[in-house]
Amino acid sequence: MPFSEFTTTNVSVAVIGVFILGFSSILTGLNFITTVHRLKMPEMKWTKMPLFVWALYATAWIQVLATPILGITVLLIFVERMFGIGLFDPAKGGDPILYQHLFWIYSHPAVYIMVVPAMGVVTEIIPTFARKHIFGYKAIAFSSLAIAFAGSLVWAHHMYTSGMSDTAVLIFSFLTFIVAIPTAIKVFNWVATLYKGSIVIEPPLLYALSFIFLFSIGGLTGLILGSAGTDIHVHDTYFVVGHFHYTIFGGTGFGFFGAMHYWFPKIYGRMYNKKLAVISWAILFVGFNILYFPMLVIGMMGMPRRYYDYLPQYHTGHLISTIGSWILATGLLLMFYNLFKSIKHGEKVGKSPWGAATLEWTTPSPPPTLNFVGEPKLTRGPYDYKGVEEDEQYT
Amino acid sequence: MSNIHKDYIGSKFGMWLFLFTEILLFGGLFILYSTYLHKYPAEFHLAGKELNVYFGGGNTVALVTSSLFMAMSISAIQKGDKRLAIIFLGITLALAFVFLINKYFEWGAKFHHGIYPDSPTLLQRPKGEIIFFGLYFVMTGLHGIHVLVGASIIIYVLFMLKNEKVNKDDFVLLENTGLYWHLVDLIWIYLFPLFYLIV
Repeated sequence: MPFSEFTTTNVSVAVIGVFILGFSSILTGLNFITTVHRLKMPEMKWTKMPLFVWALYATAWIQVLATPILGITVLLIFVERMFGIGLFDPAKGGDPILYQHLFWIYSHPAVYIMVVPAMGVVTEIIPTFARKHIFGYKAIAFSSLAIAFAGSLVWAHHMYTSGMSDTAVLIFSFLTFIVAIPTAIKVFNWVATLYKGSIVIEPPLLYALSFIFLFSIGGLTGLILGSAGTDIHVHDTYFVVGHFHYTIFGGTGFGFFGAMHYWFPKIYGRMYNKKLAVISWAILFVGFNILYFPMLVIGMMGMPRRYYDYLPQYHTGHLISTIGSWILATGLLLMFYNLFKSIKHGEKVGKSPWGAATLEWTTPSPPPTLNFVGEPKLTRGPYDYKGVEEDEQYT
Repeated sequence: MSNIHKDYIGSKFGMWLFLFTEILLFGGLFILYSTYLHKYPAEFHLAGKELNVYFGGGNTVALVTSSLFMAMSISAIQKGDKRLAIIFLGITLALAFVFLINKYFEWGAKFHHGIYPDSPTLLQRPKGEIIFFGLYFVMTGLHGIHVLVGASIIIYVLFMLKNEKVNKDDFVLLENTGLYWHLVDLIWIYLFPLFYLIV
């Protein structure tokens, strides 16, 4: 009997939890879409919005469109286990592959829900610290939507070995390659923004730059998995685990850390210890690569995922990986220590310590109730740095 | 700046998005239905004949009529007629219960014949028929839950009408309830032919 019908664990309670979380995901997406449409200040046209908002807008659409499929999938798990209907049970005429389809129709777009906001963060950080207008505003905005759209049509690339038809494999492989295009558009635009900019190296920028590096490795290994032929070789190996962590940890994780370091002074009105932030970033970055890069290598050698035991030839890789995990954990602890300590004890800063051009930096830090003192005025574009005054000092 | 923010269009905008997600929720089941119909056309045909078209048809009439009264209730409150709005909404609610009671008898008759998920009688049938009745119970069951949820919301709105929290100038709650109710109706309009008529 397939796992979609039966396991020895109490999945029913867990899926109820997932169903409730799904509601929160849907309502968040719904709220963000409605807010972007209805609460934008009237003079802020769509092409004047910060690209982070564009990224959240695209993400919100994925949340609204994909999460209901997760809802019905977990609901079906629940009724199958309670009533034994048999919709995925071959003995009763059901098809377990249909369950896999339903599962991945949500669960692949879910990774874009995780990474597209991080891309938005990187898009904010890079022009701020390059002191240069973002290169390719519209291309970046529309690539977010394109990722949301194309990313919703590639789910079955998780199922090349499931026994579905070769035609389906071919189509989903092709569509997977299509998603790489808008992603690459973003990467090229970020790099082009840095080109000939007056770059100031600050902790948020370091996180943004590592995002580009790590996510590119994650993305390119994704293409190896997306090609039907090579996937058969590395399917269900550590290569997949390595790829996943380069995209989700190197992408979402580092984007999230970058966001925390970028908006921290805005949220708390205080600055963390920048030197310590750089040190913890460096430890984190080194530890990350020592932890995850060997996984790509032993995966290529054939180390299967989901086993705690392994053959001797994989020993060295696992050893290096384990040491990397200690380094990574050290970096994480140091980073969180620095941030938590600075919430109360950091040096006080003014409203715009980075000299960024978006609206949130015109309001005091931390922002007052209702965010702005009086109606905010839009005097410049989100990446128009001419005449922006840095306001490091607390007044 | 004020922190009181009422956005009539925003409320309806959000509601429409929510309705999309409801259609997608059922969409997963419609995908299963179409795949299995393609796989087991003959069994679906035979099993579909066992459903009572009069029960299903009666329920369709009940729901469509309830939608009419829902729309009339909104028109009434727009014109400021609170009493009429409450009466029309009350009829909508009554028809929702007609639907559910009808469904109770319909399912009960099937149970009586030993047809329910995982039942010994059903498991002796061909695979396609097991799947047909499986989908029948899951899809009409999920729809039934939606009717129940809709009815609960209608009861809540009835009280809001009575307290004049929903009134001539602020009736978006009633309107959104109406949108939800029409969706429940719409989904049934697809379920009815899929199970009772076309197979």
